[in-house]
Amino acid sequence: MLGDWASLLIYLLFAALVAGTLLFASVALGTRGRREGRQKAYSFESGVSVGSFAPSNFSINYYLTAMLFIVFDIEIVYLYPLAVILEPLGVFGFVELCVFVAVLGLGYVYIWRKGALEWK
Amino acid sequence: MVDGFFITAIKGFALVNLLMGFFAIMTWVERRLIGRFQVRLGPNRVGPYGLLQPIADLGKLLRKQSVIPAGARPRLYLLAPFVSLTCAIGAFGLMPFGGVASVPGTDIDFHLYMADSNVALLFVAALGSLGFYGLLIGGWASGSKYSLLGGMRAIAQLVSYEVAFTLAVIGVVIHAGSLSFVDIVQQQSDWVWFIVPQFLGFVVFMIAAVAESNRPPFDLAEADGEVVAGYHTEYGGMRFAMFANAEFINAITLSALAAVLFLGGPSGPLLPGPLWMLLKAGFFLFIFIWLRATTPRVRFDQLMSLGWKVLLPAATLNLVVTAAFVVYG
Amino acid sequence: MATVVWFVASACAIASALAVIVQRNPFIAAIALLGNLASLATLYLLLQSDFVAAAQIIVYAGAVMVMFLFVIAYVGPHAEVPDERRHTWQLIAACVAAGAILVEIALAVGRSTLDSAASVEDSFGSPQAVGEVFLTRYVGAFELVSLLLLVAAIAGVVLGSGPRPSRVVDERQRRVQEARDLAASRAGDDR
Repeated sequence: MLGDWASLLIYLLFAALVAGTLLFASVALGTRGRREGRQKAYSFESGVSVGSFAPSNFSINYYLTAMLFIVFDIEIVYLYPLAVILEPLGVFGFVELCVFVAVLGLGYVYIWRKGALEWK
Repeated sequence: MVDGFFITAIKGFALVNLLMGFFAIMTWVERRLIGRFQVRLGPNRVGPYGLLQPIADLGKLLRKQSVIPAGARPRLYLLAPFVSLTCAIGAFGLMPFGGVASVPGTDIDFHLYMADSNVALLFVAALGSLGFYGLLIGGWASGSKYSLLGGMRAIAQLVSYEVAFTLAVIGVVIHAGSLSFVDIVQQQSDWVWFIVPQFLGFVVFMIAAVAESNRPPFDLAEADGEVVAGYHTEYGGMRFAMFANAEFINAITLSALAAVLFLGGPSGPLLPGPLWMLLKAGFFLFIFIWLRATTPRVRFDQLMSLGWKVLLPAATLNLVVTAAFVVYG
Repeated sequence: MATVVWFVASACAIASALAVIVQRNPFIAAIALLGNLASLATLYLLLQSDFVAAAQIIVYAGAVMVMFLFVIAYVGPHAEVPDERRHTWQLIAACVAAGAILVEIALAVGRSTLDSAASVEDSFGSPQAVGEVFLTRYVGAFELVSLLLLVAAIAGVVLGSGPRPSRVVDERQRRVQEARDLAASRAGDDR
């Protein structure tokens, strides 16, 4: 039961083919370096020495952003099925929507007051 | 399948190639326009008006030496641009270009869209969010601190604006009562372009779209003063170009999406559907280029607070007002 | 065509699930999990559950995995050293649980009364149909979801504004280093 998705699958195959061809071409058609110096393979650090870099220095904000994103993303995914039938549902649907958004609004105010939306 | 297998295959092949061709021309248009904005000429040497510049660029990029940096994980390093580009092209697949057309001189009919799905809008968002991982994989697999920082930044920015983006279009969904592009376009030609009742949603959508496609003034993921070139610092030649290509195709997809959701998509008088789509999407692309030429880059904390503190409440307000309008109006 | 897609997607799902378990590097394991989620979404499409497939990609692949990858990057290379100790009771519990699932599947397949493929109407699985079910049969659950999300948001903020985990890790590292230095200096004394 693929239905219309079959044609999209064909399109996606072509998309992957184009990307794959370009990737293959970048390896196959590239000029061969006459002298393969090790220097060339070093990562580009703008003249700063490579040094050690601990990823644990990342700001906690990345984690907070991801966490809040999950919450709001799920909220939005729940709102889509409600939105498509809101017009036939009428007042009942509107009340449901308002309750749903208001409960999350409480959470949003809490998050804001706690300063979780500030990027430090 | 709306058409037979062979017509679908031909359509898919044609659409992918038209999209890539359009991208090539748009790189020229962008550089010429930015030249004009900055009172200089822009590329004008290769061919008439510099029109052959994209082909020359392609040749140059293909001949670049293939370097894999010392600290990289080679397979993931190569996978990243592939993921980015495949998802970017894939997300364009459901764009409608009109209704039914026929091959000239024959009685073979075909539809001017690959497929009509009842979750088309979600599909674009889904493939877009899968495409984010190309940036993160690239940043991680390069084995360089700037790449990883840029990749992390890119994801944090993209997910923040994904919230505003998906919330802003719910207003359109409420009006149309469907997530299918064909239905949304049909509703607009029956009633009015959704930009009129959904102006706030449209503004939020456009700001989020600029950030989603990682373009100036929201190109923090590749801010050269801070993280060198972000996730693609260690990429060169065609592989770098694939990232740039994916980014621009995302901008094209979002322009086309804006045209479909807010300006009636392929519907319009006199001209055929595909031409209307080209004009409307081209208009939005011009705005993208205009913004790039004239605005300075924002700071990262400004970017995040704009997304979470301005666009998210504005989109929610728009949602509730639209719902009230549809139910009581 | 559907059969071919089913076989390809199932094979991808199993292969990527195996990769999640076998891979020692948590980042690559997370990427494999992404592949698994995408394959599952394809299987949902085959079941005509379009909305579920899209939601699967958007929520799991688009949001939850971002969280995983951020945490992996946040904890950093320390996470690449797996726990080498083997707990016997864990092994036994895992075997029992796996065996229970196997028996359950065998029973479900063996006692199945489904002779032919189920047929549903075209609107099945569309967002309209899902919305209708949400707001009629499961309206209480639908509103509870918003409460759940509220709790999740508050919990996330509370956890995130606690002591930074990196400091804990640094502290542990410092102690290990001190112990090593001490051992080295003692070894030097003996000589």
